[in-house]
Amino acid sequence: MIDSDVIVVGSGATGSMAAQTIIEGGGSVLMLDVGRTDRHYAGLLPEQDYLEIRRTDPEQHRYLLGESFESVLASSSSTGAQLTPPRRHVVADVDRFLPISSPNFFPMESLALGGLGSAWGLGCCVFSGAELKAARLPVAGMKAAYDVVAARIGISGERDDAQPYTFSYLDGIQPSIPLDPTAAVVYKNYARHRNRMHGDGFYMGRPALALLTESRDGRNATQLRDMDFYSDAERAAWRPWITIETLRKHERFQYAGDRFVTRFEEREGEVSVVTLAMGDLEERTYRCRRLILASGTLGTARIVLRSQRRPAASLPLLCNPFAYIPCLVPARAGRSMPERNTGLAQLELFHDPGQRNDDVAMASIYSYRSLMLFRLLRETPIDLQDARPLMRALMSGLLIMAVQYPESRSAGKYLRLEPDAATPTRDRLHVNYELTRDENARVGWREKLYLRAMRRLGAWPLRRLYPGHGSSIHYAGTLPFSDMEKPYTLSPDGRVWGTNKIFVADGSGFAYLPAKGLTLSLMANAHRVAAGVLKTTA
Amino acid sequence: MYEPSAEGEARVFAKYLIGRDIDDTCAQLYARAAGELGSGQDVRDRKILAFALRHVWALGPLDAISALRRPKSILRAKLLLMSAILEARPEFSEKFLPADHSGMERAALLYYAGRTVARAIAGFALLGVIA
Repeated sequence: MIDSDVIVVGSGATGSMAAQTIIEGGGSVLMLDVGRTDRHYAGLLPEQDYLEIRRTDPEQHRYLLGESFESVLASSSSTGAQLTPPRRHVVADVDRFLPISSPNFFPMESLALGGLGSAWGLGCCVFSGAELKAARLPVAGMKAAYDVVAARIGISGERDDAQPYTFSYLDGIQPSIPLDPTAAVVYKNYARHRNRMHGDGFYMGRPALALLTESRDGRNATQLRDMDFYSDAERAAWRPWITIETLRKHERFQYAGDRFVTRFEEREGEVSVVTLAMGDLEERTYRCRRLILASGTLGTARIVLRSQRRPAASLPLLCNPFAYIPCLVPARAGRSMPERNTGLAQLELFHDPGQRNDDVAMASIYSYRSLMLFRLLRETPIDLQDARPLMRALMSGLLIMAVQYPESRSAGKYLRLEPDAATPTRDRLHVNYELTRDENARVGWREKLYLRAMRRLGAWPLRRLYPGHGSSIHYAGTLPFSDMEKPYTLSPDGRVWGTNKIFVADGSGFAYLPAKGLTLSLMANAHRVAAGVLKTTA
Repeated sequence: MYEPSAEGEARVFAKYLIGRDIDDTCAQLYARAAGELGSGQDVRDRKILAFALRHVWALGPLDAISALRRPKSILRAKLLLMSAILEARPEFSEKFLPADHSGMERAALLYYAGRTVARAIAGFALLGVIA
């Protein structure tokens, strides 16, 4: 007895896109998902601006610090420490169901409805033709898929020097959000030094964001309440749950929550998908004709490794090297902030030394807004009585630059599944992630160039923070696309080699990981894979 | 070891951090949060905390040296907790939000920067006494 033509595992950015494609193409979908949601904080958040809340709401500590003060008490280096209390459900149950042992890799995974997309920074980038080829993705197919996804989610941005790296050729882009005054100082300096910056391979512009600045499809334009780190109440930001909510109204779509998928088995034209109930760990099997795995690269690797039962395998892994560089714009220190804006990225700074859009590093630049001062005080090595007025004055001049570097496969980056009887799945993922000496040298070289570029733009780098491998939250490459049938690879259309009906719609197939924000490309690939599945079903 | 109630501790810390008295709600909030934090395992850290609470004049120097040498100490954790709670109270929020600074306020920043250095030196000496 078949439960559905197609089962999609996971409700994140890729699962939701794949499901939408199947439904719009006339197919039927059963989505298996854990689907953790925030059942508490959303009801506490008033529909007010961040600054208004700070000045008036006596209950603000409940959602800004957390009911158990978890925002203050969590170690600043723990997984998900950057999440505000209303977003912490994104990492709920992860330690128990997705255990990892690693000396050098500290990823963030999610079992939430919407997956990591529930805490996504909304940055949208189109991979260039060269990057798509290096990732072994089909150029024409991906370009068509980018168009479809952009039209679904809505993107705002600006035609400027960053455009070739952000939304590129995409149409229908809405106007950008207003520029914060601190970022504006840097952008003005960039305009003044534009030729020199280009000579050094740097290109700056406004980010493309999955954030509406004009209302459409029942979603509101952003009201610039600066609550982006806390709430999606306006629906201006695209989140996977918005798509899932729409799909759930459709009769050919079913959603089964609280189900943790452990493995699959393909037999006699059917696929069995084995799940555990989150509460009592009761096993239940669902059946379908086609299975689409969209559990995130690490989640999908676990499921495939458990299911294929080949000799113990190590799979390759890709994750962008990453650093935070807080910078001070002295001209903006000791100033007030505008009442309305957003805490999302203000600027992007791309480093493309060859000017071929094939080996690009990317820095997203944020103003320090709508996050509380205590997060800065915690990192300040002086007494708190003096730190408060000092950091309060510096806060308005602070920019946080998050730099990511492109990543290729090398021998020290791999994962494997190891037995562990203490976990619900009786295994845990072991990950090793080490860059080669040459890779480290290249990252270091580019970092120095970024520091010099920021100084030229009037922003003084204060320190360099390395949260460790895995913290970029960009994972890919465990089952790389391959033209030849080999174990633990994917065919160009996303099918797991050695199977007939199992497809992967997340980043597992990307054989190269550009530094540009990954999510739009993940969604485009998910659409492409799902469209292929639909054809085989037909 | 001298240990005031958690609410008493809240009042001492608030006075130190922002120079203001706090109401019962704020003190109770801190008491609840401090319960979540616990009292710390390290004996030396607990001695430092007790000393700071008994000799309020020593809070600044001990906070300054803890920030450098023992950033995860219980004194530092409790002060950060109190600071976060004060920040999340509407009556004190302006003390934590960015604002246009006058010339006097900018000059005061130099004073704070100098004071923290002096405190760290004094705190270093105090740590030896407490040990």
